[in-house]
Amino acid sequence: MNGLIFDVSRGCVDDGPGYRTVVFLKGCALDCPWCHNPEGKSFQPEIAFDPAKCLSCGACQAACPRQRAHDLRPPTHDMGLGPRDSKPPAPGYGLRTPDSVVSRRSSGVSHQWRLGCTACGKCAVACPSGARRLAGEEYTVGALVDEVTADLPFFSGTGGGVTFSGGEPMARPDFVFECAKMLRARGIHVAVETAGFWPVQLVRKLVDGVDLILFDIKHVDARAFRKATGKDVSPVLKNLETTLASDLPVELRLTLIPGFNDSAADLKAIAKFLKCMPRMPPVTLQPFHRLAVSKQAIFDCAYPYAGARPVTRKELGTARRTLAREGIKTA
Amino acid sequence: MERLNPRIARMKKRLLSAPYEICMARALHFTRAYRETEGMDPNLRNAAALKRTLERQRVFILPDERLAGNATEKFLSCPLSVERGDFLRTLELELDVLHLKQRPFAISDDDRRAFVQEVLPYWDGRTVRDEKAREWERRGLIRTAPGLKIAVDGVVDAARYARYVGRTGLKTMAGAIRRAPLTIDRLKTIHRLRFELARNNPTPAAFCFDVQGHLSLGVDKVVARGMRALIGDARKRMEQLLPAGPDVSGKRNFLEAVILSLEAAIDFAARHADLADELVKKETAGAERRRLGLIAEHLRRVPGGRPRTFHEALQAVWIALVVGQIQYGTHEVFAVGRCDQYLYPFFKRDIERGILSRAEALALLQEFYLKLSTSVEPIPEVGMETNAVLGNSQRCVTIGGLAPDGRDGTNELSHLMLEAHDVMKGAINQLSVRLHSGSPPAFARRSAEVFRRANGIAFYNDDVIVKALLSDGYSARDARDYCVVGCIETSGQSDTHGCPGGHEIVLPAVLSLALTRGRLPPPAPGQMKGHDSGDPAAWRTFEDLAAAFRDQLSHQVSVLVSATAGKDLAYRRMLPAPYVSALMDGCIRSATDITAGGAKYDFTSIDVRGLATHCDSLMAIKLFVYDRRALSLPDLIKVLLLNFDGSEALRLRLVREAPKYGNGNAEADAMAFSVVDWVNAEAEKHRNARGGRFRVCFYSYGNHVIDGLMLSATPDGRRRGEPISNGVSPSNLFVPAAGPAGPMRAVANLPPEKVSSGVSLNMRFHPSFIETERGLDTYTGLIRTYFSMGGMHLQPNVVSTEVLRDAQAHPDRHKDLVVKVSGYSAYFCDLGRSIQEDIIARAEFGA
Ligand code: SF4
Ligand code: SF4
Repeated sequence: MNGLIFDVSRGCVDDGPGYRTVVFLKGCALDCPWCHNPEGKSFQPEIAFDPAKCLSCGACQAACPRQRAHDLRPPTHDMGLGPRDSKPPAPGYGLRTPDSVVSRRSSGVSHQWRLGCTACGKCAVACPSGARRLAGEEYTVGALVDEVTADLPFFSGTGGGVTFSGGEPMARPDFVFECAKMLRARGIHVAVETAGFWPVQLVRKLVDGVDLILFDIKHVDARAFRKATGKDVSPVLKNLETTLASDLPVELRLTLIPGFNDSAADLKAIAKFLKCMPRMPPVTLQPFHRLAVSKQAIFDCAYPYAGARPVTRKELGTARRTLAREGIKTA
Repeated sequence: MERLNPRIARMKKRLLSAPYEICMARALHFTRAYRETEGMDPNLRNAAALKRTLERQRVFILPDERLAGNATEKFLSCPLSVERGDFLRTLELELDVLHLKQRPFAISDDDRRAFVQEVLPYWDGRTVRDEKAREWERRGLIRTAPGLKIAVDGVVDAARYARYVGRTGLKTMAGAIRRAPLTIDRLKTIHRLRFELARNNPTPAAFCFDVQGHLSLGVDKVVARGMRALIGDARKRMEQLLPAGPDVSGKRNFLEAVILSLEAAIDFAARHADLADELVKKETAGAERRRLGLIAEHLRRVPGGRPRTFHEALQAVWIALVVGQIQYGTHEVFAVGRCDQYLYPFFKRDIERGILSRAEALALLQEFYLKLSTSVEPIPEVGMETNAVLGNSQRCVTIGGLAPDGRDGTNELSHLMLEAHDVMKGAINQLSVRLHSGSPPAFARRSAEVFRRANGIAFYNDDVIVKALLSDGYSARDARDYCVVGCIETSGQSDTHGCPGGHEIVLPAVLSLALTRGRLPPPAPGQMKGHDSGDPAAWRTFEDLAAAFRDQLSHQVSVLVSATAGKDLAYRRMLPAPYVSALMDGCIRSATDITAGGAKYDFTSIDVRGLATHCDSLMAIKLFVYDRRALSLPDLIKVLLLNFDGSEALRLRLVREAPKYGNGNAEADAMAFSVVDWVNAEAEKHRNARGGRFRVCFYSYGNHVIDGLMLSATPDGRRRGEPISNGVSPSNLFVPAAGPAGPMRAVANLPPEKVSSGVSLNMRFHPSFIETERGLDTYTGLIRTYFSMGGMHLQPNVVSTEVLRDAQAHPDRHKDLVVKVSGYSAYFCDLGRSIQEDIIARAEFGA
């Protein structure tokens, strides 16, 4: 059984307790425009290209069996090879703009694939500078477990462990559960960071299979949720409720997104919903960051939130107080 | 957390805003005393010079001070050790540009005149440095007298060197000089200084500076017994000297010098008492009268007698240190040792008797910390690129850890000393915290917590270090009572003449010499032709290369050992240290000065630099030349000498594809183990001039930056002029994917008994790493895990917005900076500019 992983990040300290290794699984059914990991959206491997690092050496094109490497770059970037062969993608095609809900993912395949690239990764191997990188590598359960176990003393010395994140890790439940089983057998604490959008039947296995759930709440309002993510909020709410009905440790995360969930009304609605839950675990309030700005060029995707201003300290404080008034304590 | 006491706040402000000054008092007194005592026993000469300085140097007591004593006549200066030679030359070169330095120094016209007319002419040819050079010439380590031949060679070499290091490197090295007008005289001085280079570097890969010092001064004895008791010891020992014993007059002279020095120190303290008495007369305010009265009372009692209170004990420590600094001069690097252990009985008794409050003790400790930093060094301009000027003497304080009997020694005072550091935001450069498996968790956590406000704490692992010291021959009690000297050097407390500073091998330079048959880096005028360790074109396997490197290393180490012996003999003949010896275990008993091997434990350390750069270079050669056969070794060397010009793609491959030390790669970490093993094997072949062993340590204060300036590109992908790696930390060239565990694993893997003199692992963390309670627990757990795996040392840095800004301006210097982004950590410099801005704006959320 394989999982498609786009990053394994070591030494993280805020994805659960202790010293943690976070495994990022590729692919997510939701399509949040503010997502800071655009490479986590597609379920296919993708080639990332960072023009800032490119030496224009041409090695990628030479290595590409389909002679497509050259095309995977912004038209403005000169790799010393002249104009690219095929036409650049039509405006709006495969790309997301603020007023369009046509996402790359919902078009089925990423535009790279449409251009004829199969994400074989040969160009990334040939690239000397790291400008071209393959995001999305197939791991077997055994390979992943062995790789992360190297940090075992640090996990046990700090009460840390492994966190599965993404993308949406629960989109690959079998892989995650199998890894979790093996990791826990080695005494490693396992957490899953999820946005909750997955079949309600999975909840039992999840609760039994891991040590901690980091549950990401975006919104409780169906319209707002659908508008932003393109999906129905009800399985998310159902999953949250069942999870909280278990006795598994859960931490809630609420990311404050300007114009989406940061108004007093939004926060009140969220608070009201949370108060009806079987229990109230700690809520971590995080401000939105324009983290994907640099990734738009790298993944050749638009980032509608590039222009959004960051959440200020004051706004964060206001939100914290609004929630507190509703009886929700935040960290 | 307690607020900073206003008195301390004023004193801190005074320290941070005071001008840096040159004080010629000690230099003049030493010059005159040495002139008058020519032909006498060197111990007695030194004691006479110290006595003269202590009797005549102006003393003063500043407002707010409760601990009196200053090593110079200026508030912020240092006692110039002209007799050693190094600072004599620096000052000679920079005398006219002192005000142009990055951090300017003021010098009065009188002092300038005295220096030029009296000090300089007397010492020319008479310094330890001159004697060292003569000794090196006798040993054939450097070429003799700058004759015509060497002058011609000098020009040729200079041209070759300029080509080798490149324009930017030269400019940086020229430092302040480039801002000052170049007159014929100055050109001459600069030219002479180029000849001086060979007197620090017998080869381009080995340094042997004019320093000894670097030891734990026996202030604990002054506290426990008082100097008069030590004088009594010396007298008794003198009576026991057999009239017909070996070197009886030398021993007698030494003991006499000990007595003279200690008496001078006691009188020096009394001069402060007299001054305080006088000031009291003019004073009407009650509080001021009490303050001055107390100073007078204390300094009549200590350091001669045993202190009665905590306050008095601190005063005794401070005045004993001041005298030590005056005796040894600039850059003495005297560690203060385990204050929390030897001061604890006083603290405990005063608290119990109700004559000392916690707040008073805290303020005294803070004043003490400030005093420890009150020293500046006119280091040469090129050194400014890397070094601190303020507090450069590194008077290291050690707290926590095992007591000599093997139990945990952490006490209330250890906690208080941490707190003092915290409230002061780290006024001293180095507070060394010792931890062992049985350390109280609260103490470990509290020391980690201090990083929320103050950097500058380093952690030491008793469990490993004590074992390493046992293998060096320490007794169990002495090993457990170790303290930290200078940067990171582990040493017995006031019983060890360990000479950890100033004998250095730069591994990447050794490799460069091995790769170029000893030709590059080009020798400076006066240096000998390099050692030819074979033709790289002929090496068929990586093992051949490794053998050639070991041959080159062996040569470099034996040159360094011989050079060190030359220096040590020069010290013994010209500059013994009777005052320091008086406070050192073993010297009075053996009636022998430390420079002649009188200390209870005697070693010399070889400090090795650039471990990671070197290991990564070897790994890169192994992969590209011998495994993949992507290019031949001579071709690679050509590319390196061209500084990768036109070969950027190859450079990036070397950086990205070759395994790296400290990044979770077992093969690269094992390579580091082998390199440490090789170095240690060479060191073990030799004994120092006093019969002591050579120990090995890995640290680089800031010199890895200067090494980098003087070194061409290296096979790990480092470009010409870029710093080499520091201490045992991984190289800054790559973004470590293994997280903090990578370097920790690599360092814990090094054999401690082969680096018993110490290693330095520097790691940087963003404050957000520890801003939450959970983060703090993780951080503490991380350190303890690293220690349980066998790590010796950790120097964490938790950085602020200013540093983040600096990281934006100079990303190459901050490649290892970890920041928490959102839900994951990232390397700051790997993020785009706008995200960096975002994070800077956000960092305040943590506050
Ligand atoms: S991933 Fe493969 S197909 Fe796509 S551009 Fe690179 S080499 Fe060509
Ligand atoms: S191989 Fe890499 S560096 Fe070279 S042109 Fe392609 S992307 Fe740029």
